[in-house]
Amino acid sequence: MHPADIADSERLVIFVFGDDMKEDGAHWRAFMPGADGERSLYRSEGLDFCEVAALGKDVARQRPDNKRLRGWAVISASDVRKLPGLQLKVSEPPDGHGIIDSWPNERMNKVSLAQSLADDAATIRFPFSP
Amino acid sequence: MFMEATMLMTHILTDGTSSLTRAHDPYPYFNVPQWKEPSADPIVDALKAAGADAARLHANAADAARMVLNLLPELPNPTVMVEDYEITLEWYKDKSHVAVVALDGQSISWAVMAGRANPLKGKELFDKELPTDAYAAISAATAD
Repeated sequence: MHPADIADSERLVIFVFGDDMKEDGAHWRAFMPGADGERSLYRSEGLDFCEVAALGKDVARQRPDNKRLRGWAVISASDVRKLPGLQLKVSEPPDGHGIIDSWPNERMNKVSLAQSLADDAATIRFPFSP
Repeated sequence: MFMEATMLMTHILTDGTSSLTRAHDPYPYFNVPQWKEPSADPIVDALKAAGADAARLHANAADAARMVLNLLPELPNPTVMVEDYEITLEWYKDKSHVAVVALDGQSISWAVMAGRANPLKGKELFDKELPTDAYAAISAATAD
């Protein structure tokens, strides 16, 4: 059970699929909003590595594109909130799910924000697909 | 390669004498690339891959993208994609050194990460020249 609001100190997980995982970390495309204008993420407080990996496998199974889970990016809530305009919101169910929304309308402004998120993120990269 | 080239010549020994047969025509061998070639025109390839989305592009978008490529001959071929009525060119070095340029047929816009915590972006009307700020940003992201 997570607190109702996402604290600045929380670490957030964005799962990375297919070619969006590069040698040096997650590509900026992994942080771009989907057609719904939201970037899905999970709050990782209290979860160990295996629990996050299991969650990622669940998310992968629900994807229509069959792309393989390659790992995940970890970013702090404060790193998201420091970027102009972006908002973090809890979006349950499922438990611990959240979104980044309020993206700018113009695509290249979204790209720039996604590049900043990728630049700030740490990455867990699988040497193989689980 | 040397081994294969020498195999084009057949040396036949017969009853203690030797004769050299006519060499096989090497043209078919050397005419077929023995390596994976880079795309001759990455923009054409991207338009093909985009399918129906390519038809929604502004008529000038492909020409503008090709002009930008020609204005940056020192850079390797970028990843080219068609997205949201734009052709995007991406030079990716690492997650902190990446340049994305978008051409919609009228304007050029760029989003560049030129080193840690150094985002650069801009948009200008495209008039067959690369804006100075765009060139500086792309150069900063792709420099060795």
